[in-house]
Amino acid sequence: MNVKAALPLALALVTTAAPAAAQWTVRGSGVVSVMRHRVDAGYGVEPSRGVGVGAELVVGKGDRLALRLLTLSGSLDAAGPGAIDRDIADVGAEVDVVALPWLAAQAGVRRRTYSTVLARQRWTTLHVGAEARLPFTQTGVSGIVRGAVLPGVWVNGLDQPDLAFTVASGMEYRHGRASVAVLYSVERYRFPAGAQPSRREQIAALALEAGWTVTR
Amino acid sequence: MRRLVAALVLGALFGAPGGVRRAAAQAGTPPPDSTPPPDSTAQLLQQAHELYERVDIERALPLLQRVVSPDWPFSVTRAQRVDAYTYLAASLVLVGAADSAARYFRAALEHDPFTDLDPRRFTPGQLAVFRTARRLTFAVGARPVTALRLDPRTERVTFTVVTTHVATLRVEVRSTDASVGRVLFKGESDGLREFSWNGLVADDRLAPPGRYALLVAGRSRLEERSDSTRVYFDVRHELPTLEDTLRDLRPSQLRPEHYPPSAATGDLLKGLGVAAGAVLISGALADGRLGSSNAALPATVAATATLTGVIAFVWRRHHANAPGNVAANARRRQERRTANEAIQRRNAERIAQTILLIVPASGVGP
Repeated sequence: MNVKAALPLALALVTTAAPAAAQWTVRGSGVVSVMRHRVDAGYGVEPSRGVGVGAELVVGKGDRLALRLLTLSGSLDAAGPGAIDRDIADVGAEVDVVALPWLAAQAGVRRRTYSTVLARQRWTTLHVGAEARLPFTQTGVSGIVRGAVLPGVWVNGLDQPDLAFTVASGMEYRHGRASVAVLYSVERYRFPAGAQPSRREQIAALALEAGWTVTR
Repeated sequence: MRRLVAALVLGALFGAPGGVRRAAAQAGTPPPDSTPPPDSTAQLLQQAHELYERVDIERALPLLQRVVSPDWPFSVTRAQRVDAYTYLAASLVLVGAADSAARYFRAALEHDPFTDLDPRRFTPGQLAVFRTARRLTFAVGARPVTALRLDPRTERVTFTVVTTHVATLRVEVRSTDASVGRVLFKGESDGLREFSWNGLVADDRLAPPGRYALLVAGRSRLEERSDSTRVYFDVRHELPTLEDTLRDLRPSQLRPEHYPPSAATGDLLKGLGVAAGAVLISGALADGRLGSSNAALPATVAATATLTGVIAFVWRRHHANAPGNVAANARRRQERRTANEAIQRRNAERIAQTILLIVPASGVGP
């Protein structure tokens, strides 16, 4: 899926979903993410690992529409020969539209920067996907499975990848206004060989989120 | 002249024009009217009135007698019959036949107890005979109800009732479907009297829509006689449109308050599914060419999800109740109750503004 195809879909989902005079909810979350980054730019796998800290703000209107803003930053330490330390900074925005009580469509954009002593690499990605919530009979407990394709990935110095997706699975526990979630996610990219050798890149993360919801 | 009076009285008593003519002929006088008879009661009465006003009693009496005669071929309304009796009696008073006059006045009163003589148009002698007739006759009457629109908060319906002489009277408004009515009057009454009704029935509630009767029953205080009459009318309500209350919640609209045994299994499967998802992501969906990834991260999620599923399974097997759903259902029922109470309150305010439409009716049923 390319950007031209994904944008109209995202817009259609947003514009058809908002109920009138619905209740507003705002949830703020703190995020701690344990990350494992691996990249092979044609010179062998360069593993690195680290921890990122971030925040997420979700503004929802009614039960169907939510806008998600997130930011995260951290450091990835080299974990193998050939790897170098790098810092990661990530900001993003996403719109969630609940299509079914257990299924939400998601579309968003992210801007990520990897900084090393040698260079700074900027990533801009568009993603379109879905999140399934599996509510347990115990109120507030849900399983989460989500996946998205990234039809638009712009990285300075690289062509568009021929494979880009992200998947996640985890649990969320809510009690009153408080919520805690644990999610394992993988982002995977494959850049075709061109002027440069083929490049593969993947970042796996275990994220722990703790949030608080305010309703008005 | 005495022979003429005797003939007229005989004619009046027997009530036959032929008899009048025969008596007059035997008295040696020409027939009072040899013109062809008018073809309608109204015309004949009009002619008799004109003769009476000209004090041409000799010619007026036969005309009036013809109207009250059983031989009269044209239809006679009750008002026309009462009019004929009254003028016949008044004419007889003028010719000195007071006893016969009293009989015709009584006939007029029996047909219409509201019959009365205007003192400006009738002589004291006629009035005296009429009073005598009223004493001798007992009848009660009630005027028909006229159509009207009534705000029971500020207005009243007026019923007009009459007795021909002093009597014990009972006036009651009652639904034709009810056995008990609202008594408007119970006591002694003489002559014309008006009673007002506020639109309420026996239990002080607003009269519901339906057919009603004004029941008037009297017992003479002068003689052992009773009489009664009734007037039917319909009551309709005019009020703003009422709101429908919300229906009770159907079982399908409520959350299950008890979980089926399969719910525990479902929880376990969900937990295992999330765990499997984490394992799948780290295995099949991860890029194997980048080397094996750290298994601790997906294992953390898999263990958490599995543990959650197992705990949920065990818990649900021993706790089938769904207190959250019970509370949610109770909340929804309470919201529904509150909404219905508000609707009922608004409806009551509208009902309090009910306007009564009173319409004359002809009998017990339509």
